[in-house]
Amino acid sequence: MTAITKAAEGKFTSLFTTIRRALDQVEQRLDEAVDAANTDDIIALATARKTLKEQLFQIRELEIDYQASAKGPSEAERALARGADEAKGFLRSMKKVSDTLDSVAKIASTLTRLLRVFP
Amino acid sequence: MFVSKQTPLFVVGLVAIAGCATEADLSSELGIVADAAGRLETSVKSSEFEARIEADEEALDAYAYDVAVADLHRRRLSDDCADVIQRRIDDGVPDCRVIARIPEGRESPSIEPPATLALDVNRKLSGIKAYLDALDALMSSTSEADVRKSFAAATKSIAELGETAGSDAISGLVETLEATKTQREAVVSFAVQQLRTRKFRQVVLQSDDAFQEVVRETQSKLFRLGFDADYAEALRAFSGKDDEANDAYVALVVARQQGDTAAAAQAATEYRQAIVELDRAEASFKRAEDRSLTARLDALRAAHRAMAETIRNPDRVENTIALLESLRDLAKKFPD
Repeated sequence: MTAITKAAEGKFTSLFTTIRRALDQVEQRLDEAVDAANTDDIIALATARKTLKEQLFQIRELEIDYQASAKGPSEAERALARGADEAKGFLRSMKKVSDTLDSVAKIASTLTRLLRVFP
Repeated sequence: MFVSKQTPLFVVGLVAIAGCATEADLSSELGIVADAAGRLETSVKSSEFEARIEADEEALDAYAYDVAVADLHRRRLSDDCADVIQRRIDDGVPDCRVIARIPEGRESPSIEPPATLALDVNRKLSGIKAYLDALDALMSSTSEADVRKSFAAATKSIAELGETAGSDAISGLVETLEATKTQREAVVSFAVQQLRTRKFRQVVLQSDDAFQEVVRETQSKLFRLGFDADYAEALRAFSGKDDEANDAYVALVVARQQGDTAAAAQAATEYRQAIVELDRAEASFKRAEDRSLTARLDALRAAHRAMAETIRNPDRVENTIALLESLRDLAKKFPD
């Protein structure tokens, strides 16, 4: 791996780690919100809701950064292109079937002409 | 089926429920999705966007040059190489030679490739369009008719050959072919149509997650390019008002719990006011959202997901309704 790729990957990994940490915190806040709801603690529930929303905003921002900082075609793009290729490949196969049948028709008709010329 | 803003939903529903009875009938729905994707591309590609693409291309050229120069610096070169570095690498002079590589750890600092957001968006939108076009070609293909026509032509030619040759074997074959011609053609058509439908189902189902992801990636890149700034601002304002309403509610609960009637009355007034402001901010956010590219891309994602669900479970009415709603939304978000 070149130094260039290593540097880019390091930045990417760090962003990914931040997102994972933020998700862990969301999970923790969700637990707190559930506890608050179970104990009818309106104030704790309201606080947990507010914090949760802030963290979700933060995660969305991080996700945007993560996706925006990716360079080159993503795995998803490649998968979509594979889907398109499969669809086109099928149509090509069907074309081949038609072409083969057309060849059979042509061969039969050539043989017919030959037989008429040389009975 | 064309879904316009004026079409009552129940009419759309009835028409489409009838239309969605078989998977093959998804062609019109797919057409709406593909058309929307095409119009999305047009909305994004403003002159400002084209300028960003040019800037990205220049940045990529500069990066390639820097990498090549850094690569030359990592080697001990003959004296003539100064010329190569000064000018463009492609203008290299034959006397420039690598004498030795600089040992590991003593290379020049690494260079990061530039961010090419506009080029990335362009590529992703083209990928989405190419995928939908391929599906459209698969759906609107005349494969069955072509194969049936070729099959009929082959049968006819063999029949003529049999007649001319006077061969009992060929004539027998031709008689059999003629006797079962209609059935054979029907079977060929049906088989090809089934294969085509199966391929369509397979491609849509296996690509749905990727489609969702590519659209989300496109949204993120567009955000960072500065698209949808109004939407982001309206969302922040809405969220701020939501926080204020949340705080006002907590203050009300605290005042009530403390039994402070005057404070509770004041808090109740403030809470009501906060709710009014929240409603206003929400309305303003919804207007911004309707105009945003984010919402258009969301609608595109939802339409593909609904189509995949309809394919997965064609008998579930909820899936058909979800597909209709997503198509109606799509038509609304991508007006003519």
